[in-house]
Amino acid sequence: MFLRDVTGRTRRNEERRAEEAVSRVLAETERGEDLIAPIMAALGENLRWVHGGFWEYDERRGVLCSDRVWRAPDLDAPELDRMVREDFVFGPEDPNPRFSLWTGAWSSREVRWAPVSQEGPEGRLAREAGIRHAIAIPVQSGERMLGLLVFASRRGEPPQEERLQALRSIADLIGQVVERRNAELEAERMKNDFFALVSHELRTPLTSIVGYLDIVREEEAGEINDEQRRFLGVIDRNARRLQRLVGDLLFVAQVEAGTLALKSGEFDLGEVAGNAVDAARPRAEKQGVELRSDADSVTMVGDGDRLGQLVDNLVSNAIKFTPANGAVTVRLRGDGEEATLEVSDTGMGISSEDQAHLFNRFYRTDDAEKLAIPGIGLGLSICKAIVDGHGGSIAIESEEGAGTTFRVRLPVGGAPPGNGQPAGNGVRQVARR
Amino acid sequence: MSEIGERPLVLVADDDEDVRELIAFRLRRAGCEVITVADGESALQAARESTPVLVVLDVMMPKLTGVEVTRALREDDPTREIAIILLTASVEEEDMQRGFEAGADEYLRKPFAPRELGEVVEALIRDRTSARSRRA
Repeated sequence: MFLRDVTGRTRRNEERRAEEAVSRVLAETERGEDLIAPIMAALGENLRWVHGGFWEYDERRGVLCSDRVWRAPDLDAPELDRMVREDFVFGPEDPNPRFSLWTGAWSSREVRWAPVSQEGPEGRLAREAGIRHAIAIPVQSGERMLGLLVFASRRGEPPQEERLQALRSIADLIGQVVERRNAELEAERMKNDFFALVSHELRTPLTSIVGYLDIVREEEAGEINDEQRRFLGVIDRNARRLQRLVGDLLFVAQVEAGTLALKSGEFDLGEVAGNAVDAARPRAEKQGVELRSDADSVTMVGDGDRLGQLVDNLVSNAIKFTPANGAVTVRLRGDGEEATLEVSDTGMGISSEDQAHLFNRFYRTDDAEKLAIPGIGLGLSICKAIVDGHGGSIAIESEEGAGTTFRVRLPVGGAPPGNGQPAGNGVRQVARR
Repeated sequence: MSEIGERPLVLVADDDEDVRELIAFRLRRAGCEVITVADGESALQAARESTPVLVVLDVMMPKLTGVEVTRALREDDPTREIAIILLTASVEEEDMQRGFEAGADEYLRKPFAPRELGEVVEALIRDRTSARSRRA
């Protein structure tokens, strides 16, 4: 008989292989993908089982039901598949003896086995498939029961303690990974909730503030006097500041979650830079800073809005950190392959220590804090994410007391394929509609 | 939006009353006749009953989302040609693509500039009314 040939050693090998295969599945399966199906295959194939099902606990209905079936490649048993899927639905305390293996494993939370009856209609299916006994493996995450893996074996003799022990440790391993993944999903869900909160709960009221303000300022709801107009201007400026801040927070959260999408279209970066400089001119004048622009026309492929935001952030920063009578210069050149954008200032400069952390989120230099220069330390981390998303680079040259130059290099043909995947830097490219 | 002719009918659906009234105020000023509703189901019903030239739909609305209303309007012959603007507070590119796939003509993100809304509305109405008069 072939059973005699299966020595203790090959048995132990089977268990070791099964454990390795399950570990591999746990390590290689992407987050959010189904773990159970590959685990069933890993166990079934290595432990030479013929048929198996995963009975998931449906908390709402309070029943165990199987929607996943695994069977050995040489077994053709559609009737058995159907029975497992459709007929074997029961509660964890079902008194029906045909479910005693399941309910026993469930209530004891232990790996259990039982011979499979060869009598009656179910027995006929077992006989046809050559099934002799079955093993039930509870899968739990912490204290919570998730379900039961139940496999059928063609071997006549009962499973040895060694095998049951191996299955216990495999079940523990699965439980740990499932628990960790549930925690990750929970964190993901909270992140999404945060998104919804920031997007909806902050942006909707801003819509009303900015919208009604506009109606009043345009005197569509009656005349206003000069002082009222000036005060409304203050409200407007601050509402827009809030709007920018909400936009920045959302941007960073999107980069973090890997859901930020960059558009891809053709545009003139020189024009984009020119617009950003024009928009910054009133601020520069107010602060007594000379703003110079020396931008060539450079056609490139990318997200023009985001690159506008990049130039805007760099120029705003330069103005903020440059004292009166200083100058900020924006320079743009292209060589057909690469666009080089430089934003230089004659400001206070950045120490090499600060330079190392400058692109970190919420990082503020000591000088920025001391001089109470407004900001929350998101601008440059946003710049870095935009540049990365375009497959470019950003570098800084600075001398304390003399000034700073930010140099951005961008491929004009767009980001190379494979760049900007969520795994890399959390930015994706999408085709422009 | 001075060029919009003979008070075109516009439906505005948003569960935020302030935003709804803001849009309605703007559109009435621009010469439109405006109906307002606060949820997706009422929007669908109102659109079927009165066949406006244009509907402005918030995406996140109770009962039916703006995207679901868009899809339903595009499925029925009498409402198929209505111009649809979706409004959303979401910044996700995918949400925008879903909106266009459902059949929206334009998509505006909150907070939108009042001028931006005005321009989009004007262009869509002009487009639809000239198409209607051509058919007539």
